[in-house]
Amino acid sequence: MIKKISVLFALLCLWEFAARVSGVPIYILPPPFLILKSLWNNQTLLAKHALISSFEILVGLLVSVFLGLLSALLLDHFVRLNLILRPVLLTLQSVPSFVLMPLLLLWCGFGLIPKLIVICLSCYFPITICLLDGLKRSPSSFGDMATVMGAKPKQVLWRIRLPSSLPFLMSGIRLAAIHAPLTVLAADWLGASSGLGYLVMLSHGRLQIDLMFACVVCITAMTFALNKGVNMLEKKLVFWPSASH
Amino acid sequence: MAKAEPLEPDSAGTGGGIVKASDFYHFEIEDFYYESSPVLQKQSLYLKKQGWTSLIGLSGVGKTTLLRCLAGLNGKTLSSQKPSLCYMTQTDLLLPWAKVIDNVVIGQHLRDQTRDYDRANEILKRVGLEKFSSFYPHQLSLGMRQRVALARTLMEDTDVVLMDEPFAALDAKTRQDLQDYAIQTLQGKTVLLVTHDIGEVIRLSNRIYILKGNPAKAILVDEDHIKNLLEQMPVPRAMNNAHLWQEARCFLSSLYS
Repeated sequence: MIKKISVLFALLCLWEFAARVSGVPIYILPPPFLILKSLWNNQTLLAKHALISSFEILVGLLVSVFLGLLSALLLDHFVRLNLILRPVLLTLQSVPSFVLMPLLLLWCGFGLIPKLIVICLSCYFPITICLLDGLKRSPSSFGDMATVMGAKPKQVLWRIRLPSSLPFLMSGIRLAAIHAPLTVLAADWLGASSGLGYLVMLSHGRLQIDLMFACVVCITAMTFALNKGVNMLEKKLVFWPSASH
Repeated sequence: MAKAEPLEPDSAGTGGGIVKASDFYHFEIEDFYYESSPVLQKQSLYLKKQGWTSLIGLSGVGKTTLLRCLAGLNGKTLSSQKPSLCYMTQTDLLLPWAKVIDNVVIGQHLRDQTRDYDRANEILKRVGLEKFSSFYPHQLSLGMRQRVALARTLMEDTDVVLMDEPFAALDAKTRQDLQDYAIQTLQGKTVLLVTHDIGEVIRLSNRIYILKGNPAKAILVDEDHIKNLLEQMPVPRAMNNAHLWQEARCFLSSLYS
């Protein structure tokens, strides 16, 4: 950890030195100290927009987990529906969801709703597909054992197949957690009146590059915290080594 | 199948005599096909009540398929007595997200019954794992995990226990220890053991079937000297009569071909 911090500090010092010595204007490349100053001076503004973005990401993720879980269970239960919809899901997954943003703005107006829909769309597919894979790959030997013990299909699903699919669900959530911040930023750029992406565009337009960099720092910290949270959740839920599964 | 069949027909077809039907669980297995290739032919299987029956045969002949038929997982099997069954496999099939104690009571949990933790603890004590009830399976050794699987089997308290090479993945010492545990703890149960290990068969069995042919059929080993060995020496049989063991091994090996 100390090693990592030292490397980061050294890089920042190098940047500071290069920015000051090279004479590059601060509206092109502000030195780290100026960015730090901007972070401090605009802390209320940054916190407000960061909170909005974090809220959008978290709500989007939670709604996607719920919808993904529901869809995966339905598609797993109705095999024919799965056969029809799975290729559609895979195709839709490859479409960047924020391209729908202009259309959603037209339909739903500015505000939280279109952004939430776009985040949900980007998170929903990886969660659904990963969980479906997990349910499909759940060891049949566990199911056989449960059947011999007199379990009904519903009990096999809830007590055997779903817990054994947790590593897959977590992979889906991990992917979604990577997509969500990117989507929220893209959605902010395309049309929003709040959020870190909006603040990036605003500061860019006003040539406040130090504030723009301060936003980037906030986004990086937010993404880092999100990944850390997902890691912690995974460690809590999937605590067994994969070999024992 | 006739409802009250008084006598068991000689399954080996060698004139080996007749026995009382009430001493056996009788299973009638229908023809079984895997992707339109015949695997098992229609046959009867008699498991000696409160005894160990072994089923041996070459790899791929259909031993596991036959066991799965008996467990109701493959094809169609009839039994007039309808004994309760449980199935123990080579891999312990412990749920990695459940503690040892929860794995032992998993049957009750899966059937939405009240979980009897007192009895589960008692059984864990019998297999020497009372101190490990709150451990997770990945924290146990292979032998201990198989003992938990044995405890889970005992918890089910079924008439018949089907075992598919349950000791195969273990080292020689652990295997012998676990065999002894199984003999002790499964006393009073009817066991069908599928195995490749001739030594295990001689050590544990009261009766031996060999599965052979294509489609396969289980044939009872009814040779006099093997029968005498199985009937006269109690299980688990010690290995002190090397000559007898060698003779039995050679004979059973010859039956494989």
